[in-house]
Amino acid sequence: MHIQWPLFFWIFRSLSLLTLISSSLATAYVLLHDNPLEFFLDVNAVVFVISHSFLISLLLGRVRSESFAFLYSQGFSRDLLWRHVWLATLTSVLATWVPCAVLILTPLRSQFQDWMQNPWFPLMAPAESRFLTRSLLFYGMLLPIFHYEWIRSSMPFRGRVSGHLLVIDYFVCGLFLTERLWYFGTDLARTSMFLGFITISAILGLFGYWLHKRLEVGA
Amino acid sequence: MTESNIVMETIDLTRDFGGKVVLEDVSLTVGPGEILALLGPNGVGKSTLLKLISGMLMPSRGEARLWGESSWPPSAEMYRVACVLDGMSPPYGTRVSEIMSLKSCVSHRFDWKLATSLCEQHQISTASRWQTLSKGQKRWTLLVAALASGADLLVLDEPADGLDVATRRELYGLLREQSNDRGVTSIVASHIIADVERVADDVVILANGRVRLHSPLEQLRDEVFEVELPIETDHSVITPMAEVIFSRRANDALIAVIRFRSLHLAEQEFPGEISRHRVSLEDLYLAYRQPQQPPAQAEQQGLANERSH
Amino acid sequence: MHISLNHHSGDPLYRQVVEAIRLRIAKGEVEAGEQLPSIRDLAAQLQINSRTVVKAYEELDRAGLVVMQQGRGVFVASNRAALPANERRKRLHELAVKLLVEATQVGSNLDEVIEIIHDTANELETKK
Repeated sequence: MHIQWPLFFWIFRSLSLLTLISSSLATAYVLLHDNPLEFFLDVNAVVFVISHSFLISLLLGRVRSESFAFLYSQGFSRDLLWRHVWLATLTSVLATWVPCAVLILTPLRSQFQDWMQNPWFPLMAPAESRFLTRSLLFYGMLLPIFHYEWIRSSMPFRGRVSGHLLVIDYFVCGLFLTERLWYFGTDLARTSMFLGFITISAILGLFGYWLHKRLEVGA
Repeated sequence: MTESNIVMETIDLTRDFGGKVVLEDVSLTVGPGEILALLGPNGVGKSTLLKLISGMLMPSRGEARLWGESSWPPSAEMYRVACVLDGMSPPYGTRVSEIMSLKSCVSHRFDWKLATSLCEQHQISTASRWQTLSKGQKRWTLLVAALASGADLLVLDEPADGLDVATRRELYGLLREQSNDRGVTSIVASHIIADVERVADDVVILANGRVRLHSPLEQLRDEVFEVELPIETDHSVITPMAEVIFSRRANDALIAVIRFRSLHLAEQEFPGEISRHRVSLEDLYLAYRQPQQPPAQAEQQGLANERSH
Repeated sequence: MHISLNHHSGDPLYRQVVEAIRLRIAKGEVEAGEQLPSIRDLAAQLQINSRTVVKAYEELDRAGLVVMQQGRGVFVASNRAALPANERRKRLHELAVKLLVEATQVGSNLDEVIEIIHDTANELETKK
């Protein structure tokens, strides 16, 4: 993929403050949290990922703003813009989580907690890598939905394409959050829910891509 | 016409916003190197037309084509178009150099030398941030980015807004230069008719979302006159030779702004013609903006006026 | 060659160019055989469409005032093709009417008009 750096920096600039904050928060949390990190049992982590994804979408998708219209009037192809929007998204997520991954995997976090005389460490350290994969998976599920949402909100025919898919998605998302189902539900329930969620995210991701080509700007 | 001599074409282009029709059945063509001036009062649909042409908005009906390809959904050809449109500006804190860099990655033809010199001539440092520029400097910066982009089509909405007279002249001089040297086509919406008159090849007057006039400006200059005729002259004397754009009765004469149907006809005189002279684009524009009346009605009104005297 | 155009007069630009060049030729400011600016240069200088310049040169060419040579340029014609007598008279008559109407309006008389014509002719002659 050919990256146009000026375009990338232009888009990422709107995420820079958010990324700085999210990165510091996540790093501090991962370093200082004194219970073993277990993603879906940890309301703070789940809320953090939802907020972070939501804010990324909100900041990138201010379709009514003059600066958005400016960028989209510069003659870039919609495909190129779409790729760079995702590249900026990915950068914000990675800038937040790579430091966390370093803390968890090196294992600086474990040593720090051990030094603080936390009885869980270093015993639980190896189990924590799942925290990273699950949080990234969760981003992967949420971001296509949120990105789809801002694109759909500015479609000329937005009245006609209803947000039903989104409602379903948010509902499943709610279910997802119910930790009981995740940890104490049957395998079948868990697997089907998981697959359903992945499918919807993928469909909305593709639909978002398709709609993005038809995004009305500066109406 | 073959594709190669049409840069932009609209076919029955129509757009409504929530049921309110802003543009209706607009059909225009623009050839390479032409400078098309779009005239009309505010809110007449000029901005919407430009946004439809540049692939920012979806037509409700009909289509706009650029080099033969529909501009909705916007095609990859859009890199050949540079726009300065209404309601668009870079974010707070952007540096002038970043605006130029952004433009330079749209097209490898971006002319840094031209961009830098045009900015410097207007005391704009490329390190300046957007919010520190004056209104005129902001406008100029965006125009420079478009002019230096090497685009084949420039779409400019009220480009002279906030510019002083000298800068406006410079702008239109640059448009002309790019048209003559590289065959760059420009579509310019403006309400400053005196500016447009200097530079336009073709003129379009929009009224109520429709095209009232679309003609080469030199042809208008050749064919449009204000004639003074005896008061009793009927429109039917004029209409075989010319289109009556606007007429009024003043004292003891009929004064009409007319457009001859051909240059050849313009050499002939009407019976009893008192005088004729050419009209400026501004006068022509005003004539087109007068409410249109069928001849019969105009006649009656004329009589009524006479009685009231 | 400096030509000033009036964009707001309503006169077609190509006619303004034609008139300006005709005047130059009449005054002898450009001589027979002399090369006129190229289409490109004149268009750039006047900031007008090059097609307008082409149209003006074509008009001058038709009137026999200049010769357009493919690939070489535009030159002032050496032997101006004279108009047929009746056509010539007609054209001058029109101008004479205008002049005399104007003269009457400003309160001048025929003698003064003739005197001015002589003086003007002398002026043009000395410039040559």
